[in-house]
Amino acid sequence: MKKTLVIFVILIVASFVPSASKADLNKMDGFLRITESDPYIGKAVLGKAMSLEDVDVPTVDCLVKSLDPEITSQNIEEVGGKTKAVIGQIMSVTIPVDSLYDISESEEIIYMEAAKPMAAKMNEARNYTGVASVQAGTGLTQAYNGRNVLVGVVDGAINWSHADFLGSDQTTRICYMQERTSSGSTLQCTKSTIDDDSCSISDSGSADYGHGTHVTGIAAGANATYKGVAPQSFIAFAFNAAINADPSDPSSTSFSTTVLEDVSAIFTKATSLDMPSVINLSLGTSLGAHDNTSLLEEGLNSAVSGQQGRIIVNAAGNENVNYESGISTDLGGIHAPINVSAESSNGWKVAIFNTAISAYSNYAVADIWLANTDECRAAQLQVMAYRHDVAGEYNAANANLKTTQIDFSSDQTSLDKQTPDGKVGVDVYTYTQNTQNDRPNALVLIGPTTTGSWTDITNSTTGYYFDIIIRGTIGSCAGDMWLYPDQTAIVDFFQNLSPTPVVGADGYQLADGDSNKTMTIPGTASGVITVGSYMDRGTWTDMNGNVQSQTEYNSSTGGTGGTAGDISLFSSLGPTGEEGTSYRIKPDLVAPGEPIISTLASGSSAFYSSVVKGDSTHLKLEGTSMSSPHVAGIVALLLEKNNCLTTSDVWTALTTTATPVRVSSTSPNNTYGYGKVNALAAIQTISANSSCYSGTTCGSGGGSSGGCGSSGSTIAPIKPSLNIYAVLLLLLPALLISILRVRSRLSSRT
Amino acid sequence: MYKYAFILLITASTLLLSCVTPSPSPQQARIIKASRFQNSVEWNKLDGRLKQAWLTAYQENDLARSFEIMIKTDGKISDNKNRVLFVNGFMTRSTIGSIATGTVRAGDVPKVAKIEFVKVMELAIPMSIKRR
Repeated sequence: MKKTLVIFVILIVASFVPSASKADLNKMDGFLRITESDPYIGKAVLGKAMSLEDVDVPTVDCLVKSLDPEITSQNIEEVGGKTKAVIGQIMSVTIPVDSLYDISESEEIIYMEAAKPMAAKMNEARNYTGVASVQAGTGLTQAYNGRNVLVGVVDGAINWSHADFLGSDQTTRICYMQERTSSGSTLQCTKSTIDDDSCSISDSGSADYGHGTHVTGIAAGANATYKGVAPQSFIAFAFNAAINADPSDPSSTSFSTTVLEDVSAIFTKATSLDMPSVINLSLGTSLGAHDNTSLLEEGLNSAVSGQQGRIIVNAAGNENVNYESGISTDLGGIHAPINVSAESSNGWKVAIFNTAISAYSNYAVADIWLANTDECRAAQLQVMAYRHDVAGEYNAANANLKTTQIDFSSDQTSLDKQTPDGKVGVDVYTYTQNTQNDRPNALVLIGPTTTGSWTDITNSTTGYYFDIIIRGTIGSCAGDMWLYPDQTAIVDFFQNLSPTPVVGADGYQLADGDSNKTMTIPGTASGVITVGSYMDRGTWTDMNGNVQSQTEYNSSTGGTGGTAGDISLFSSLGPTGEEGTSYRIKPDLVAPGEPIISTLASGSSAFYSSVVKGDSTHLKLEGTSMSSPHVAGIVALLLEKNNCLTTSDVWTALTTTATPVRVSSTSPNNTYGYGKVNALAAIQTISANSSCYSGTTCGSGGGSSGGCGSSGSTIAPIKPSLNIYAVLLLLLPALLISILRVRSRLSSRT
Repeated sequence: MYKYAFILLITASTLLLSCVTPSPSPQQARIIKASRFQNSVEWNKLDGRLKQAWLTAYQENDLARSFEIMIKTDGKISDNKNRVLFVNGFMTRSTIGSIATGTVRAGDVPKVAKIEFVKVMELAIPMSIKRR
């Protein structure tokens, strides 16, 4: 209060500063005028937005509105300043204090204002999405904050005691929590065990920089400053011990199976609480046909099909290679469209360039799905490996390894193919068809042998890259190929290779990879609402009070920046992977995904201090992991108003009210879907109805007091009741024998 | 009468054993010929990744290897179906409609695939989070 008073007095004084001769000072806000006349007073007001001590020339961070940002940027650089970000006509810049007037005098400058030491926060994103209005009840008959709705999150781990998850009575809003441990057992906690601090699940939430805590904070956090979307909702959280799962590692537990189990457990809990529920999944995979036929997709569709008050929201994925163009413009993404003609071959060059792959899998996988045609079943598959240092690498004769050419017409395998140095193995499998979609499928597994390591593959001079070649034999064949891990910073197809031909006996035409159809599974499921990410603003303020640029941040982490208001460069693209023209548009819509400030897990350490907020309990992250819970929270607001809504109802409300963003004059499209989510417009389209559920509390707590219990899945592990019958059968002969003995004794007496 | 009692005793013991031990030991299962399984109708119930994983386990003579899988059946999974799955080596953890999640040892995969109501067997897919 005292500080505010001081600032107010300073501003009043500033308004009387005799500077009428400098007419262009009017283009500056009061703070800049003060700073221009007396940097020391400016420093007192602006704090760390201004550099004064230990610098040759004092500078100040400000926002500038310019008719020509390019010229303004040049002018600022000429005086020793710096442009951090440009958003339309608005620029985030640093300007030497003694040049403020000169810059403001430029004709193209409209207005300049000092960066204020106030935090950019979740309420920024809530303004962009209309959530703030819904929470305040603006334009509505009442405010909506997610009351009596269970927001479920399936993720990595959670700092469950964080204050953001408390209700107004200072008790937890988490009704239910479960962890599947690396041993396969399941720990459970309820509201009562959390409130009395007897929950046995770890409270650090440290996994992956507190990902699960951050995501839950976006959807349902209740901090006064960094408020989530549904801050009065109840919460259910399910997670698995290891979040980047390797199917060959028994301690890894985050699989399609466990995700389905977690969803089942949360919906079961919602049913027992008599509440509507929306579940957020900020996870996915690139393995599968992407055509709604994997059992995870089918299972999730089944979980919501025709169900009132049961909704699933999923992150679209971060697999757009545009983000990596700062590394190389030749990286072509994790998807390749297949279209080969009869009696010709195409090859796609694969690079594995980061040993971080070891955290995901023992193999890089190319998952190939062809069309359900005889021509595709007759197509052939082959893989070649080239050493990086082999001259004339595009000559097939120089391939360091060639697998046998095998076709899709029968289930075959080519195992144990190794490079001559014995360090790299390539396994190729082809299969006639997949039962779910009848499509021929093939897998190419690439990885180090027991005598090799990932370094032997990724080394830029002595490592390898691989050509995956498909040959059309009796006719043309189309399909798609995806790489795993779904991490464009680790593995990619190349692009810009066409039309370089590969000569030699196995000659083929190189083709490009791309980022289409990179929506990860289960975002491809028809019953799941899939959310891409856009950059809602260009800057945030860190814990030191410094204004940070998201564009610069992206560049410094290997990316290429991005522009506020536009799609995030990493946001995966649709459509889905069905054959021919039967594919579907995805994502369904987009929401703010960067820079998003939300709950920081107590056990997590941020990678840069610049991403931590001033109270040290919130941090900035980015990803479709962050955009998805925005929409999950918005769905909770819709369910508070009408708890009978089905997935179809919610999808219609969200997509018909989203702000369309055209790509090549088309909307909806496979970048933005139906556009940017608009919570206020969406909730205005639905009528109020609370007749389907009546639960208003987490219940009495239930569960075991120690926080452990049996599986929360729909059906617990089967206990063989046959045992009972078997025991009875065992007893029956004994009974018969006893009867016979008694009879024989009786007869002997007589 | 003693004869019937003896038959009942043997039957009950066998049944009890079959419940306690849900499947033959992995090495017993080893007698399954890979080629016979690959040429059977049941083989096509497996998705590509499970086929690959099973072949690898078979060639490494590791039929005790446990797989995380999902199975799809011909309809809602009843308790009776669950018992049949259990007896054949599939350890159900949860069900949603016609889909069940659980584990099965490599040696038991052919037996589960042979169950008539089992239509699809899919190896669990690893999932990763979507923080950039």
